[in-house]
This record gives sequence, C-alpha cells and structure tokens, in this order.
Amino acid sequence: MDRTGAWKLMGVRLMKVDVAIIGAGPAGLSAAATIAGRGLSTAVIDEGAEPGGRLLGQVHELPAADGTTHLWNGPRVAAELGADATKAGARFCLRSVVWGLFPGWRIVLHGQGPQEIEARYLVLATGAMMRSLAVPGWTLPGVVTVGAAQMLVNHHRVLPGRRAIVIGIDLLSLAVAQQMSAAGVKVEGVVMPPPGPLAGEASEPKRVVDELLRLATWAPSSGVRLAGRLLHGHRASDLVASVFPRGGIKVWDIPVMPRRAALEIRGNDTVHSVVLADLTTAAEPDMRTAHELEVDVVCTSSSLAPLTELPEIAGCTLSHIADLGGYVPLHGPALETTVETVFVAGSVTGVEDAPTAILQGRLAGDAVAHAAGRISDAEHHAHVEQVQTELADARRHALPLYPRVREGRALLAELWRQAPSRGMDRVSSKEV
Amino acid sequence: MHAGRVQQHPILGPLPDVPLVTFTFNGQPVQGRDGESIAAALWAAGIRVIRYAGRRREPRGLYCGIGHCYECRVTVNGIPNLRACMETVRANLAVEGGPDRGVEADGGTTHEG
Amino acid sequence: MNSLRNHEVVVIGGGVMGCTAAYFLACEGRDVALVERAAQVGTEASGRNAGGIRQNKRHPAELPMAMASVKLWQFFRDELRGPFEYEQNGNIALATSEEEVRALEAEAVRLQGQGLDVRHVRGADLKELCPNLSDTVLAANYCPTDGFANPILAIRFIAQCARERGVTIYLETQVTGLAMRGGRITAVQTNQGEVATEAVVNTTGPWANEIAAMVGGRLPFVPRPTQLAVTLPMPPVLRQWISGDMVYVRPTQAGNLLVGGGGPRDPMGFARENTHSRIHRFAVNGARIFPPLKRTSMVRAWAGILAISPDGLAIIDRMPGVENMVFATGCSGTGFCTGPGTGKTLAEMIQGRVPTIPIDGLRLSRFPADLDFEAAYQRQSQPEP
Repeated sequence: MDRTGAWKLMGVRLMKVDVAIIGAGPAGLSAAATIAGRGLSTAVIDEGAEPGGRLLGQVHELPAADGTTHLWNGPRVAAELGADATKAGARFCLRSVVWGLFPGWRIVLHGQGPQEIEARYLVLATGAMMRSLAVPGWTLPGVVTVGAAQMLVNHHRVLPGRRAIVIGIDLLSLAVAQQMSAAGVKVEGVVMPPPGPLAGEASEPKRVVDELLRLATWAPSSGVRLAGRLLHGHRASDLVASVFPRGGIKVWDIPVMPRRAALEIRGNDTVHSVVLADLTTAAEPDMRTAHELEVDVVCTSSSLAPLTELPEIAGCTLSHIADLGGYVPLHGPALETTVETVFVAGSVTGVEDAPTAILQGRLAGDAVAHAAGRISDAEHHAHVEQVQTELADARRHALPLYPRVREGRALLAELWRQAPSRGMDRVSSKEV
Repeated sequence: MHAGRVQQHPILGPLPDVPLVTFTFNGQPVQGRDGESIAAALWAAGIRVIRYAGRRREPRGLYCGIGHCYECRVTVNGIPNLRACMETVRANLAVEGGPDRGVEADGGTTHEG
Repeated sequence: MNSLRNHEVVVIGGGVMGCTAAYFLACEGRDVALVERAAQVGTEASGRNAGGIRQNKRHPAELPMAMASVKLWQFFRDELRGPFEYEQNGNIALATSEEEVRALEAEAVRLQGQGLDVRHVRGADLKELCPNLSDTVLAANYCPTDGFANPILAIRFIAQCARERGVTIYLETQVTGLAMRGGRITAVQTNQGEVATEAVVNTTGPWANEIAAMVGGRLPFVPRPTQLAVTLPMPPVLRQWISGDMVYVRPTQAGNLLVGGGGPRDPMGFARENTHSRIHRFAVNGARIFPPLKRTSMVRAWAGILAISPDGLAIIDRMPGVENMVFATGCSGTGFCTGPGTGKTLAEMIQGRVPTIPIDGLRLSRFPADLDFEAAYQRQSQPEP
C-alpha cells in the first residue's frame, strides 16, 4: 500500500452550507435539529466515529435520598438527538478534525469527510475536558481519567480492571466509582489527591467534606443526611473533617475517604499499586500510616475545563470565570458571542450537564435562525424567554456537579452587559 | 492479568453480539469487536502499553479516552499519529505504537543523539 | 505616582537587541534601565522566531555582524554557561533548480571571500550530510558553524545576565513620551512614571516608529507578520537547519520540527494570525524538500511581527536630530541571530566609541531622506490567495 497515499491532495473536497456546527454532543445535535428544521443547510462536524460526544459514556443510575433513582441513558439520548437532526436535514461529517478555522468562514478538516467546509454561521459546541491530576506515577498505563473509565465501562463494555482506586472526590468520581462497582470492579475506595498546590482545593479535606455535605441530599445514608442538615448551615466542616471516620463512609456502597490521600502510583510497565496515607487535620500526609495497596487500575478525577480553542481562533472574546470551569467565550442571553456570526452552546459556555446542553443547543439554534432571517424578532424573543425559563427549571433539578454555576452565569451576564458588541480584548473577571 | 469485558452491564444489559475481527498490534494478532476503538480492544485483550515515549522510553497508554491527550497515539497501516481511542477496529489493520524517538524514519536513516 | 527612579541610560524594548544592549552597557559600569511594556521580556519577535543563528546566505554588508554575533552567542553559551539549547549543527541552503544551483555556487565563492567557512555540496556528499533530503534537492551551500537556539530560553538568560550586572528591568511599563530640550532627550515618560536620563536606546523592532515619532522622526521600514508551525516529535531525522523552496525546517531537542518561511510580497501589518494558504505551503513545500515531514502532524502554529527594511538589511544608527539616542530596527527577519552583535554595537555607540563590528552598509543614511517606503511596499504587496 502506498504509505503516502493518504497525504496526496486528490483535489479539495469542498462543502458549502449555511451553518456549520462543530461538536456533535448534546448541544451540537440539539442545535442541528433546530437549525436544519428552519430550512438552513447544516453540517455537523465531529472527530468521533458516531455522534453523541460525552453522552456515549453517560449511563448511570444514581440512588437519591427519597428512594427514587436518577436514571440517565446517554447513548439512547444521543441516538434520539442524532435521529432528530438527521430527520431535520442536517448532514454529518464524522471522523473529521477541524484543524483550522479561517475568516469567511472556512473550516479546514482532516479526516474522512470533506476537506473544507464553507459556512456563513458557526455554532461552536466543543464541550469541555478534564484537567489532569498529576500524582507521581500518573503516566503509567492503567492510570486513566474517570471519563476514560466511564467510556470503557459504558461504551466499550470493557472492564477497567479487577481492583481500582479512584483519586479525587467529587460527584463525577463517585458516580463513576459506583458504575465500575456495579459492573464488577472491586473499587477499593475514593481517596484524596496528594496535598499541595497542584490539586489545590481538591486536596483540602475540609473543602471536600463541605462538598460532600452539599451533596448530602443525594446520599442514601440517613446519618449523613442528618449530619448534613445540622452541620452545613454552621459551616462546621472543620469539626466534621476531624471526626470523619478514617476508613471513610460508604456512599452508594463505595468507601469515600476524605482523610486518606494517594501519594504515589507504582508499577513497572503498568500500574500495580498505589501508596496511600492518612491526612492529619492540617491536611498533611501522616507517613506513619503510609501503606501500599495493590490495584490494577487508577482513575483520577479533576475539574473540567471548557475547550475554547475554536472560539478563540474565531476571534471571540474569552473571559476567565472559575465557577464555570475556566475560560469561556463571552456570550449573551441567546448564546451569541462577540463575533457576529459565531454562536456557542454546551459545556464550552461553562461546565454543566447534558440536559442543560440540549436546551442551550435549542437556544443557539434559534439565535442562528433569527440571525439568518428565518424567524422574526418577536418570535425569537419569545423563544429565548421560553428556553431561559426551561433552563432555570432544569438547573434547579440538575445533578449538583459544580456548586457555583449560578454565580458564574451571573458574572458572565454582567460581563456581557459591559462588553461592546465587537472587538473587545480579553476581559478577566477580576477586572469587573 | 486482564479484566476483560463487561458481559452483563447493570443498566444496558448483556453484551450485544458483534462480529470479532483480528488485527495486529506491533506484529501480534489481537481480537477485537468490529467497530470498537483500538484502545478498547487492546485494553480488553490485556494490552495497556501502547508505546514507549521519549528518551527515557516510558510506557504510555490510554489516559483521557476522549481524543484529547494523544498519549494513545498509534500508527495504523502506515499512517502515523492516530489516536487509538478514536480509531475503530477493522479486520486486518496493522497497528503499531507511536511513532516515537528511536523508530526508523520511512526511507531514511536516523542520527542518534 | 512615580515608581521608577532615574537612570543614566534607558533601553526601550525588551527583545534580544535591547537585553544585550543593556547587558553590555552594564558591563561597562553604566546604570541602565530596560523598559518593556509586556509582562515579560521577549514576548514578541525575539521569543517567537525559530532561533536561527546563521552566517550562511548573508549579504556582504551584514556578514560581519552575523559572524560577530555567532561569537557572542558562543560567549553567552560557553563563558556564561547559558542553557538555551544553542547547537551549531550547520545551516544548509538548498537549490532545487539549475538556476538556483548556479546562484549558490556564486554565493559560496562570495561568502568564502569574506572569510566564512561555507561549502558547496552535492551528490554523495550532500546525501551523507543530510540523508533525508528529497531528490528534488540538487545542491546546497553548507555552513558548519551555523545553528540555532531556543529563543525563549535565550532571551530570558540574557535578561538574567543583565539583571545580575545591575540592569533594572521595568516590565509592564510603556513609554508614552520623550522629553527633550535643545536636541537632547532629558527624560523618558512612561505609564508608571518618568525616568530622567542621559541617553536612550530604541530597540522596539517593528514598533520603532512609535518611539521615533516622539522625537519627530520616522524610520523607513514596515511591520510584517511571519508564521511558523511546529510538528509532533519525530525520530531524529534532521540535524541541521535547512531552507529552500520558500520554507525552512529545523529540529528541536525534543524532536519536533519547526517549519516557517515568509514572502517578500506578504501584506504588511501587525496581524498575528495564521492563514490557511501559509500553513498549506509549509506542508506542501516542506514535504517536497524534506519527505519525513509527511510522517508527522503540525500541532501548533503562531506568528510574529518582523520589521522589514527597504533592502532587507538592518538599520543601526543615531537618531537624526537627537544627540543622545540610538536605534536598531529593520532586521527583516535576521534580528534574533544578530541580536547580540547589534546590542553590543548600540552599547558602543552610547559610549561614544566607533563600533567594533563594521556597520557601514547598515546606516540610516543609505536611504534617501524622502523615501516613502511604506507606500512602495504597499504597492508591491499581494494578499494571500
């Protein structure tokens, strides 16, 4: 086979559409159905082999305090959204990486579909990624993010390992730990990252206990729920941190240990163990308690960061808002950006969950249709109001992934109000 | 020691029937389910080391699982720098880890150091 | 509020020329301030270029400056133990047509005549020198003492040497005006306060006219962006800096390949963007002269701004009408290499000495006073396809 065949330019394959949507996750798919449904020619671009984005790995059944279960079947939702988009007339360019975005818009791709797409409007729904957790030994094969573990179990139906440890205590890591356990992995526990500046707040037991208390309404243990109600209001997490059992408590049957930290991951070619130690009340490792635990897979969890390369290349003003995950493209109530023909939707606008992303996709889709003259001002404003109401409702019932999303969104709205409509340089939230 | 497949998923049910295909990884035959990612097939087969990186030849493999980190990069049928977590398994693929330093360049000699 | 004190000399612009000028002045005991408006030194061209340090292909007027600069780079690396990855693996200028081969042959003779060790190479010798060049390369001029360094590490090292010699570096400090009396600058006004001073060095590169305007002057050059890209790390397939067919390629210590190249008709301006056609040319032309590029991917691209002079050579001189100001600009893409030599020359000029490195062909006076280079450049520039 000619090894260089793949690189030969066989003539540029060009596709022209009204709207290009980059990212076929819940936000992009929802936007596609909305936009194509208005008669605009629409291309949805994704580097994956099938649409769905992070939905493909999101399969969980989380028991809540009131005895109900929160069931979410991401792949099914993805299939439905994909079918809706296709039925509305959207065309998919899968297995395609956007390597360049140039004014016009000219989208240059590398992959199986067209090499170039020309589009008047863009919807950037590129989602978010998980930051790395740097524990000594973290590059060993067998160390993966909780997101990767989730994909292995739920999408690929592969067992991550026989004995697992999860480093990083947050709702996502607890959920993935529970999924792995239900699939047959022995999850030894969910522990803290090593204390220090790299992990930041996530390595402070007091903060994590605060976080767990916030999640307490979701815990099936009545003891924890009661403690949560009594103590949370008084911010007595100091007290709780020191009386927290060293062996942790069980949340959904998984030992959660805010007073124990992973210090090092060991192995030769692959992971074979992790070194754990208890934390003192000053959140320092007590080396007398250091011990080695045999595991064959380590899952790390850290904060999520919006993937803003494409909005940045497109010239959108970005703002750093910690409560939304980091840099986000500055956007208005209908998800318009500081660049007239560019709209955003989903976790790239600030890390939230899939139902929120789906609603945002509708909102951005409506904004594009309005910008393209397919719906009237009055209709558009009515839609914006309606979706905003649905968003507020969805957020009230959302899984409490991040505690200060509302504050983050309020800050963003304020920054938008202050920004001129075009051409403003990067605004830091500290400047407000 | 490898853990294998999730035969019975707590929510999704039994593992659906999908044809198995054979591909090679660094010359060795590996069986995978048609259409799954190369990284998943390798992991299920107990292969976690995808390449050896850098001057220190550190073992590396799947990490982020979403195509972002490129730690799982492989050469497939001669095309380099593809992500094993994004490429799908098909029959008769020839997959190699990398490329990384120390590997011979195509049609040329290398300088050491 | 004035957070700055007075200094004997103020160097405006923290690139490689400014940092070396400050360093050499401080070596002679002068009290120097380096004023830089960004939060770091070397954030512009000095930190964005591909780090080339070469004497090959130099115009005769510029070769002495390049050769002296190589010696100074060696000084920074060897005497001062600078860890900036300066390797002298050689520079290979390629010919891909018979016409280019003849031009290279003549150029080799000329350069040798000026004392440079450069060799015209073809056939088996060329193959041995650089095994992975494509067959489209017919011949090359090879200078073994040429090389490249990591520009970011280099500029930071030089700034650190300058600090250790007593230079005060003011960052995030932008010059807003120059107070003059009787043809002399008496003070430099900045957004952080005022510095009374006895002499000023303008090393602001493509922004030199912002400073020149403050003394009623205008220098003949235009700003012009240039782009670069970097690939994933590769097996060690290249040792030298190679150039030809409007691109250049050079390896980093980690194994990445840097690819770059400009064009004499590129539009002027300050846009630090990458364009599709330029990235495309890097890929096509780069792979044409160096086939291993086909086995890797470009992972990142960026751009920097050059100062292009009418003849492509640097302009180093005293500022007309100002008794105590010197400047250097218009390096046209060679400024990183010649930075140390230029900085040393500027220091000597401030000290009132005749420069050690001959700059006869680099003076401002070689241009007619009424030259409107900007208009001329604009007329011949072509937007990219």
